[in-house]
Amino acid sequence: MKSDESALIAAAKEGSAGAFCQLAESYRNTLFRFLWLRCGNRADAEDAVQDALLSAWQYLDTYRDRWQFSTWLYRIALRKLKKPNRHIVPIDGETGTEDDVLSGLERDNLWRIARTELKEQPLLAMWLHYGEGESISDIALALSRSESWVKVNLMRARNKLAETMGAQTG
Amino acid sequence: MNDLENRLRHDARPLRAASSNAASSELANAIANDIRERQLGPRSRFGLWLGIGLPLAVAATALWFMTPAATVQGPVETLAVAQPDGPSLVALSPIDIDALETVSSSAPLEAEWDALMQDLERAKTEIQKDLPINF
Repeated sequence: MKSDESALIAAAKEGSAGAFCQLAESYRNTLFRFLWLRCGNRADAEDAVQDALLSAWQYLDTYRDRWQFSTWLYRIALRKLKKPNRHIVPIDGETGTEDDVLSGLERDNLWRIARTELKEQPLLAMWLHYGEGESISDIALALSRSESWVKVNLMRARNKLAETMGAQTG
Repeated sequence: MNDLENRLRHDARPLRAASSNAASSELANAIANDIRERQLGPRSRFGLWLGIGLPLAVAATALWFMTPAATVQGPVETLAVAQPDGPSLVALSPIDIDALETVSSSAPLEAEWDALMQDLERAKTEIQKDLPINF
């Protein structure tokens, strides 16, 4: 963990709302991306980000620095999501509920394919690894899974995407 | 597989860019306001626990010690209870009296009680036979 982040966390634990606001600002977009991919729509993701950061502020004294702060936030954020993941359909699908995450992506964007082909947890593991550069161990902590689970599911997800791309081009 | 991984990282960029625009400054302000309004930060919560919880705990403990263990209301009835060294009187609370009256008003239970007392006397006699004279 960076030393300035450690200082902010220490100050926030002492009760400094200003220090926590700085932390929140630095992680807001990261959390939003994670939850946006998970929820599929901006409004739900924004609500979840707000709830997660507020919970993090209230329970900051339970944070231990053996965790990455981002990992801890991801875990809180997942718990705060109340609504189950909607069935993901392509924009031009028959039952089309507009999904604003997909609408902004090129048709051949791999994440567009991943979001329709993969189940929730493998998708989140893929995003944390390839989208945010998180380590296997941090992903396991964030998703409350084992490291073996993460490795296996990343491999399966990649195979699934490769297969789908092959089917699309072949 | 490396190509796929590289592609995943590459294709994440538009999503990251889109999300940065989507996570509006309104959200940032809302979060900051929430945090400032709810000054129930870590230390404040501890203070709340101390300020409210401790006096409550002290009051509850004082109340516990001040309340008598048993309050006997009304006349105190006594019951003669058989003891090895002679009968002794035992003070009964109204609750005990009610219970005994309930028991004694029931004839089958009284008969069972008498039978038990007779068994007890027989057992006592048998034991005394086996005891050494200087016991």
